[in-house]
Amino acid sequence: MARIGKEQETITVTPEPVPEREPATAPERAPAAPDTPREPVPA
Amino acid sequence: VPRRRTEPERRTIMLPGGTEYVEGVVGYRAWGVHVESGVATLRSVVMTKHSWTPGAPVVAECAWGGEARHPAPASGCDCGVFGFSLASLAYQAFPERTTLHGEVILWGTIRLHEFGYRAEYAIPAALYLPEPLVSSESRAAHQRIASLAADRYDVPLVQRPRGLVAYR
Repeated sequence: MARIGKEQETITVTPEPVPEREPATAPERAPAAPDTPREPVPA
Repeated sequence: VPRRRTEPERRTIMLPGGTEYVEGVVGYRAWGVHVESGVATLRSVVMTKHSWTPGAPVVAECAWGGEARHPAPASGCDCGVFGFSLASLAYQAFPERTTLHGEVILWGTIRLHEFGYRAEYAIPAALYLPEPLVSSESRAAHQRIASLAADRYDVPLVQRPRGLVAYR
């Protein structure tokens, strides 16, 4: 085809699958702080 | 050996259906536009009976080989979906006032030529009217047809293609 000139090389361009999104999940709750004995409060 | 003026411009698009994407080669080309009852259809300028279907890639077939048909685009043949590497080259090849120009994304097997490409798959990405084709008298009619086509093929109607310096 004269309009696009001489053929030079060939490439192959292949479609890729769209990566699936991770399902949205609620953030994990921070672990509860361990119970610590309270200091006795002076009366 | 003649060299291409530029390395192929690439653009990533989501393909129809939304499950695949491709980093395709950007080509520039012209279409004839057939308007009937307010519906605009893009037709190949060379293969004038071939219409482009909205929302679907064009899949190249060889119409030149007769019984010796082969997968398109074949090396040494004239088959495949054509695109120029620069918008100015598409304008210089098709400066007729009856044409609408645009960007296409090409993928699959692509034969790289000095000034353009022949590809296995193509889909329009944008449409535009080269300014030299549009006179002040014809501007409104041109714009109306271009808008109909842009709406039907769900692509933007842009003022100028990206990166264009001059049409000539």
